[in-house]
Parts: sequence; structure tokens; C-alpha cells
Amino acid sequence: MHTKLKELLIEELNLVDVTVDEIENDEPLFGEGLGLDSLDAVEIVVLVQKNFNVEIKNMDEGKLAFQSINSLVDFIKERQA
Amino acid sequence: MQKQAKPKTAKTNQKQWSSRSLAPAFFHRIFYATIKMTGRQTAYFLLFFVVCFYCLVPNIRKRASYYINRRFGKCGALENIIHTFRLYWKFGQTLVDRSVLRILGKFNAVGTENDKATLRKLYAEHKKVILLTGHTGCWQMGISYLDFLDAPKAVVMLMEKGNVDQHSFKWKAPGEKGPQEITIINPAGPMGGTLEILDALKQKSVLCTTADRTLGSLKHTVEVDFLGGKIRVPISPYKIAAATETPVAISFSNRTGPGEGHFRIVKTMHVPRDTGKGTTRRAQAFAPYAQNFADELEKFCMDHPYQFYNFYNMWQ
Repeated sequence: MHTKLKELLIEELNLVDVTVDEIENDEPLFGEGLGLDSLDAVEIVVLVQKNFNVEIKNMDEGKLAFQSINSLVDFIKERQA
Repeated sequence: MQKQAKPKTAKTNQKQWSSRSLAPAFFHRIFYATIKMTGRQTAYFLLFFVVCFYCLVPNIRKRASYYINRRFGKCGALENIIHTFRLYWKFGQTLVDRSVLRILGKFNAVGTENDKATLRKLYAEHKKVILLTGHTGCWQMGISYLDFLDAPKAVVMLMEKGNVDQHSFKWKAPGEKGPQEITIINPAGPMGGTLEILDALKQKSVLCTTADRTLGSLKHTVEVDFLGGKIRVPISPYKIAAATETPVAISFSNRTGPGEGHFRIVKTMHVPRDTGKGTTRRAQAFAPYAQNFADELEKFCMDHPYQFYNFYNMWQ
């Protein structure tokens, strides 16, 4: 799931010059890490719902899920279980 | 190898404007008390002196001059003061009307049946709408205009620390007795309020937001033509519209008299889901939609020259 998620992020967020291998699983998605921002969060919420049928409903869930690829994968798995 | 999305490569935008009122808190309290005790007209009377004073303060006059010079061209000192007075006078009247709405619950928002039908149809088809407006006319009373639409309402509005001005969104749903709850989303909140915006649209809301001021990173803005120059405007409304497949209705209002505004739907747009994912990448892909908005805003300024309320240099 980690790889699929990274591929989706690269494609949906147009992260040019970034490969799947370059995104660390524990790297922060926002701010100093991958450098995503609030509008990218919109795309992530939509792509997670579309591809994994999991809703990120509010800021509390967002804070939990958006920390890194690892946390996003954990969030998706937990909601799918 | 550098990742394009890294913040160190992104240009940042020093915000040129503030939502904070020029007047101190006690000024506002005087106006609120006046409205409560004597009604609207006395507040207008007081306002006259405040506006006269503002027109004499060079810094405050300068704030209005950027727009006045663009809209009316270079003019003499006296003509400039008259334009400034009329602009601040109209703005002040709108603020008084807004306070009257909050305190006395009085505001008459009118619109044509055609425009109402357009909005009803758009909402019926998509069960959500983004209502896009600018800082013009009586924009903050726009919610009152939406009385005819039986839908949850949400407003995106910057709530800066230290803002003493009280806002009002009294709104009564059809058949309801009391004012209804309206979701206020602060774009200065975590994640720019985007999760709250998405949630509001998921709840089948009409989401009202402005699209004439930038906030934060230049990455999410585009340059558009406006009143003979270039200004930067945000792409966030169009990006959210694309991601959530929500139709956009551009709406402007003009103040037509004491406590009365005329609301119009000037254009509707559909931003395709894959916008920004083709050969024209990212922000630039949303430029045609932003230009549509700027064109409509310019038409508004031509028709209602003293009802445009961006008091900073947008053309910088």
C-alpha cells in the first residue's frame, strides 16, 4: 500500500522530479518534509476516498493521517478493517 | 534532486491586506449602541463625520487611492478626495447595515427570479454549490439572499486576532422561525480550513467564499488582468471545485439603499475534475476560471464604482 499511495500522490499532486523511492515512509508530508500544503490536502482527501474508500472527515482525523506515508497507511488500514 | 513541492522553492506572499478594522473597539461600540438605541439613521449621521475624518488622513486616503487611480484614472486633488469620500461613505454605510442586521435583524436582500432559478437548478443537480464573490457591495449579507435555498450554508471568512468588528450572518430558512446555524470556516486555521470546506461540501452545503484576495503562498495564485493591470488571485476555490466536482456560481451584490441589497448570479462555471493534471500543470491551469471571475469583478466596478472594498495595492 505504501508504494501505491506514493504513486498516487506523485500523480495526483503533480510532484515532478520526485520518485517513489525518494519519498521516505516516515517523512512529514506537510511543511518541512515533502512540502505539501493545505490545497494538496484537498487532493489527498479525495484520492484516499476514491482509491481506498476511506473518508478523512475532520481536522482531528486529518492531523492523525497526514503526518507521513506511514501514518496515512495506518489510518487507511484501520478504517478499512 | 529537488522536489518541486518543497517549501524552500515556493515563493511566499507577504499579505498586503488585513481583515482588521481601522477603527478602535470603542468606535464600534458607539455605533452598536447608537443603532440599538436610535436606529440606523443616527448611525449614518455619525458615520458622515468619521468618513470626513478618514478622508483627511493621508494614510487612509492612500489605501483607497490604488483602486481610485485604476478605476477613474489620474485625477486632481479635489476630485480624488471626492472619490475617496464616496468610496468610504458607501463602505461605511454597508458596515452600518451589517451591524443593523446583527443587532436588529433587518436586511432586505433581493434578487431576480431568474437568478434564484439558476441557483436552485445548480443546487438540485449537484447538491452542493460554491458561491464565489468579492469584497464588493454588501457581500457579507449574502447569506440573507440565500433564504430561498433550503440547504446548509457555510462561509469561508478570515478571522484575524484583534479584529474588533463583529460580523453578522443572520439567516432564516424557509418555514423556520429562528436564525439558523451557519458554519464559519477560518482559512487561517489548520490546513487552511480545507478539511472543514470539504466536510461542508460533503454535507451538501452552499459554500460562500471570496476570490479577490490572496492569502499566503504564491504557489496557489495566478495572475489575471483587472482594471488595466495585473493582480494575483487565489486558485483555491477553483481547485476545490475541481477536486470535489462542485459547480461554481459567481455572485455579486450592490447596496441599493438603507438596509437593502440587490444580489445577482453573474456566471456559473464547471471546473473539470482533471484540471491541472494535463500539460498545463498546477496553478496556471486554473487561470481561465480566475480570469472569468476577474472579468465579472471588473464589470461590477464599472457599474458600481464606489462599492469595491479592497483598500490596498492589488496591482503591486
